Amino acid sequence: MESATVQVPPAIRWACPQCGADVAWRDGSGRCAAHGVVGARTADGIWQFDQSDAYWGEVERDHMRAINAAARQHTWQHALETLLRPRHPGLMEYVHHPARADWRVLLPLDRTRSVILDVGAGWGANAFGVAPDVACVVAAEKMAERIEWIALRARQDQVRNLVPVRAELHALPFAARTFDAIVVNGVLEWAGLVDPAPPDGRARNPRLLQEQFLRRLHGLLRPGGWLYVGIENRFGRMFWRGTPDHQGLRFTSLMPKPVARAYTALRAIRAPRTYHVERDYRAWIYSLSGYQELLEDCGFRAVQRYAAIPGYNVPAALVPLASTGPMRYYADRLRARPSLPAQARRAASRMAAAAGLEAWGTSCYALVARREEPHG
Amino acid sequence: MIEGLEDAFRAVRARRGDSVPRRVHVCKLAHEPYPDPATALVFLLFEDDTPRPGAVAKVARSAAADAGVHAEWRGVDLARRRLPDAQRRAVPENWARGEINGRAYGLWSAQPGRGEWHHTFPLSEARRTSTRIAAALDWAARTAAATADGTISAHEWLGAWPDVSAELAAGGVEPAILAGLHARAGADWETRWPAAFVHGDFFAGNLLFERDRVTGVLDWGGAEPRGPVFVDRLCYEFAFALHALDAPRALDAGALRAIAALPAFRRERHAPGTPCGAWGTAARAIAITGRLLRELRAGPARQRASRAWMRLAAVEAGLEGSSPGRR
Repeated sequence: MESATVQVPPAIRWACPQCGADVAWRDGSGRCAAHGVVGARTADGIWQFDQSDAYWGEVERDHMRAINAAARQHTWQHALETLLRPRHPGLMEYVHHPARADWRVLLPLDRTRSVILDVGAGWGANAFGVAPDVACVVAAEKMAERIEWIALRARQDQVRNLVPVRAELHALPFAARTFDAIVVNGVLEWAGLVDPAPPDGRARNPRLLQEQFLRRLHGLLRPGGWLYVGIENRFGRMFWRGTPDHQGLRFTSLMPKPVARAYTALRAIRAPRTYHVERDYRAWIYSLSGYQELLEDCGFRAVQRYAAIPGYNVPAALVPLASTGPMRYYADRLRARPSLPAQARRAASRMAAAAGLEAWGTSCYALVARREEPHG
Repeated sequence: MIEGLEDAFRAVRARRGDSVPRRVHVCKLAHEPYPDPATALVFLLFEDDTPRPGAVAKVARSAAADAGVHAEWRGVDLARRRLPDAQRRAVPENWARGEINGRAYGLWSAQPGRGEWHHTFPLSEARRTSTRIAAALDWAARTAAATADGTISAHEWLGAWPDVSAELAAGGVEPAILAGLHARAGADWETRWPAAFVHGDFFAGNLLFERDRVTGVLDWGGAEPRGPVFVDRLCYEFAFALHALDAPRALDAGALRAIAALPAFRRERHAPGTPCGAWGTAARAIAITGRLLRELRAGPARQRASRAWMRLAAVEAGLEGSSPGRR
């Protein structure tokens, strides 16, 4: 249902996050027959289904609020230049450059028909990057300040096919078979972090939560629809070099998960982390075969695997891993500098690529999988 | 997008009577993480398990980039019609073009060889790649010789100086830089230089080498049928300086001299048939002006490139000695 004050995007079919029943919109509120008001349309144009006070982001909360205020008063570009660049110059391209969404080349998008969902949209770089190539992109983000930023930018840039939705990733307010594609870029690892409904107060195994999340996404896809996942390789060389994991500790992804959980708990005794689930290792990532198995267990098929180089957040190169040919070319496409260390590194890289080892050692993956079409 | 490219590749292979690959693997490639939005997405297409690409595709990143894909197609066509056999071997073939999801795309044959970005090497290491720098300069010289077409002045190539100056000023070029360009090129604006076919973006990043031979010349979007013969050769040298602007090395007059003193550049300046000093300050200023105009005309998406060429112009004119702290 629609009212004169709320224009529901025709491509979106809403559902109650709690029971999945249809949501009817009237006077700016979305109502479920069983649960009453479950959503609201804010003055900023945000479709709001979450009102928690949680915050997580690359910048401090007060700083994010100041950026939003400046964007509201001037323009979002002005806000970034005056408030973000001085303190976080390295984030400038990250928060808005359209190349962030170059993963879109892996999906068969149609600008006249495709309806896609970006789960955990963050600053919206991916959603804005893909918007010109689709009919409608829903940017779903839990944090109030971040979805506010997305709504502000969409309004200022007049990106009319971007729908900002504030929702928790385990409580997405959409009906089954709504989307042609779903994007999960740097999000799957967080799906196991917090259990939204822990039985007996104990959080479930992160893998179970990730499966629950993926199965939900599977249901949200139309038959034949596509899932894109950008994520780290647990055995990627960056972790061998000591890059901290998602919870701030080193080498945990290389450990068997029970060992990583025990190690995290031990470290928490001596030095409490800043994340509220710091006592448990819960941001699980997997190997190449691990992701294949996880996706297939959740009903996805035809998994295509790419190395995302230098990372999924900025996929300058997407090298298919179904054959060693492309990676062998990639490792050797440029002549190395004449210095001995450069030549040695190149030789090692060529050998690894020829042996097929690059697929297992690359730091990040871009994975594409499909919800099968029904037979017959 | 990649499905569309796979289909186009298979169709080309079938049309040419070549074997159609069982599997096509499409690899997206970019030189840098955050490229200019006006550039195209670049793809390499591999058939079955071969480690050499069978085709290269470009898809416009945005509507604004459609023109670039079309320009590349035209540039390749021009090059393949104008260049003699020896030079044409390094030029890709136009294979297919069209639209994918409303964006222009082009598909070209893949050239053999590997890149060598010696313009990014420290000069001490770049000296050790002199044979390939020389090979590149030789390719440009032979192309110029084979496509010689009378003479051309800066006025004929770019327009009257007042108009050029106004356009540069409107594009944000500072008055001091404009004055510096005019001081160095103004007196020779009507001088007639040998004219030849111009690639327009001739530097190591657009070349492929096998051993010490140039086997691929890429990115033909800036090609022109006639331009001053020194443009490509100077562009090759300028690339070293432009990279220095991005690297933690100072760029000043001394650095420019060190680049010009690289053995390959020094030998080429004094090669028989090269009038000593012919490509001196006036030619350099004209070449920079031409490139700066082109970048500014490409619009805001090429802002970073425009700023780099402005800074090179400033350093060439002695207006600044660039250092990382002054960026």
